[in-house]
Amino acid sequence: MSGEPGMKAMAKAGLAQPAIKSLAMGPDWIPGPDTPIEQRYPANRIATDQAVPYVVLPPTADYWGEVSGLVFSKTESIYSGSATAEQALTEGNRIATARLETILKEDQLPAFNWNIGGVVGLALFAAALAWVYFPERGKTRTKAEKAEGRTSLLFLAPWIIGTLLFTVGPMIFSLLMSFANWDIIQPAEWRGMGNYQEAVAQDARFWQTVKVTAVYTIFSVPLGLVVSLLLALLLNVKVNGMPVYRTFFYLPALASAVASSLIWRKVFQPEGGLLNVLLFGADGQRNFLGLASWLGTDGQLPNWLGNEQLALPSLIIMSLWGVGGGMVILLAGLQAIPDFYYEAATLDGAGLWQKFKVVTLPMVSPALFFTLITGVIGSFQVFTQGFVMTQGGPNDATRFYMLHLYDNSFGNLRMGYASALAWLLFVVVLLVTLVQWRLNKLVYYEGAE
Amino acid sequence: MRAKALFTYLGLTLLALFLAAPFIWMLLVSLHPSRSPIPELSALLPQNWAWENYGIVLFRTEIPVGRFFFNSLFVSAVVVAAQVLVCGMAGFGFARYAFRGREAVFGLFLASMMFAGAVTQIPVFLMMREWGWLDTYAALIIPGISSAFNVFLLRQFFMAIPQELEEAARLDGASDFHIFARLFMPMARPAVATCAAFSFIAVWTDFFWPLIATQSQDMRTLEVGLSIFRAGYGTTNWPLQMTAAVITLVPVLLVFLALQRHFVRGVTLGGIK
Repeated sequence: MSGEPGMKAMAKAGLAQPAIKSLAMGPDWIPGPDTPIEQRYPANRIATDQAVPYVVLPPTADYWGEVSGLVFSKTESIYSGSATAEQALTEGNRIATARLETILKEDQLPAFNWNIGGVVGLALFAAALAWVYFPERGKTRTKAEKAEGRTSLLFLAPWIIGTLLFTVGPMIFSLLMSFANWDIIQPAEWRGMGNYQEAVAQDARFWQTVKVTAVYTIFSVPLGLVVSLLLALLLNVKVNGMPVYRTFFYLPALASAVASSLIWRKVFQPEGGLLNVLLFGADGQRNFLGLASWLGTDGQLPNWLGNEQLALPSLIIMSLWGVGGGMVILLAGLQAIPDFYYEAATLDGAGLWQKFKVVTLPMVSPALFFTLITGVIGSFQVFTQGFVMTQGGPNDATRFYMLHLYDNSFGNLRMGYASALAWLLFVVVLLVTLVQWRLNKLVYYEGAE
Repeated sequence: MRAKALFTYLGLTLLALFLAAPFIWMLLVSLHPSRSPIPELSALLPQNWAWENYGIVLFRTEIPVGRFFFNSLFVSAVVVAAQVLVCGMAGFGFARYAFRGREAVFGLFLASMMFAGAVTQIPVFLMMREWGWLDTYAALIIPGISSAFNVFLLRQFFMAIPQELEEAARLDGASDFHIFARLFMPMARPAVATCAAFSFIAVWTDFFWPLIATQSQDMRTLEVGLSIFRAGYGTTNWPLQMTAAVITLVPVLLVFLALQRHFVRGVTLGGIK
């Protein structure tokens, strides 16, 4: 139904406002003094007219969600009482305005040149290839060796293709992307070092997520090492039925992050959760070791995951539950220590602690070292617990680095910025591992000098 | 001496109970009737065992847990099979043939796969999107086939097999592929079992990739599907939520128990050598 007659009929029925201005202003839509009383209704004829001055259209800019999200990210602290509404909104407004200014300033970025990008990518790939072949370029090979090389390629091909396609290629692609501004809908724009600069200098949440991840790592990894070593020592006693105990001790490590998050959400639940029931009794009256006053919850049951101070420690406690993987490695290390080492130490009059210090610890140090490295790599990339259990809250207290990366890539569709975040993480993980590798000299390897 | 052994057992048992407590609690809560409140500790043993919860969760709710279960099982099985083949071949290639730049290629690929993690996920997601693979089994399966750990482990194992065996087979006129498929893979059965167990658990419990690679409810894996249970049965329906958690855990547990020996071996091999 369109055209003037159609619009007139619709307007008279009060169904739709005419799109033609003269009709919209005419008595068919807006009742005038001559309009018969029965045609002045339905009331929506007037309602539209009167409401127009008050209509606020939400911004349609594609960055609206991201920028308004920055304001709303601060409102959680109002509910938890750690900031007044005025403080929170002022702070939210400040970071949102800063971000908005950057967006508007970068409104006219040059397009990302994919040709140059492709050339750079190929050059990087060529550099890697050269690095592989350079050391052996001078070698002459016999015909048989060449044939062997060709055969090996047949076996290696599927794996190498897979790795090139899904690891090496994407790495190069992501490095290029980290210099771009790209929401995968509009064409990519060249942003230079802007993404890295934004992360380090402008994004207030970036440092918060770094802090959360660092605190988590600093506590959960060493604590996990100690606990898994203790468990392994316990399991290393030679009694019957040890495999059964080992299975039980390993069980929690098998639970996936989602499954254990689901269980632990219930354990941490303030009302009736397992932890509070154990600590404070079913009626909440018992005060285990004076914990209630120490936790500063003033007679209320602690809301482990909902409290800004307790949420991250709760996740650290939860991480200790899954130390079974490290325990199995350490146990294998312990079982590889020959008995006569201990016998010799006993003959020398060493006590239990002495034996632990002089025999056990050095002998098990390679396994400890490996557990440390994998533990640190894993804990830098922790995601699921924060995503499933706390959604990064309360007030960003458990916003892990990977969560921030996820929000930026798949929430705000800022693929360039998220790639830069990923590369910063990559470099840090690599550096930390290299530093640990240096410390590796402290590790005792049997048979090495 | 006997008293000491008794204490050891007592300590071990207490600790095992402590570590298993959340599991036991989960199992018992899952057997309470649907929608019943969280039981108090004294009433943890259900009065009427609600085994029907498992039927309800698997077949009868608005959340297709049965479908999630199938997705997880299918994806894990295909990835494990493909990984064992592809990584077995690669491990064989790295272990038994000399070629230019072997050590460097091995080190480079291994390192990139070990550390890449977060870096590759966004580009791979974009590739899947470009190819129209998002929300299909292909996206869940194919990017996960090349694994660094398995190649490393199988290479270690293949290198330990005596050269004479291979030479004898070659004299008998066996082809390279024949040697790989009929001689080396069967000999490496323990290592293959380890790889399979590890891969299965890794794929089954993976969360981040299935979360971003799938969109429709029908393509979700159990892990991702499970994370929506918080809202799914109403936040207060603890028994059904715990039932779902048990359903996720059981396959992992079965694989672990079946392959436990190889599993512990694999941890050791990967860890220390």
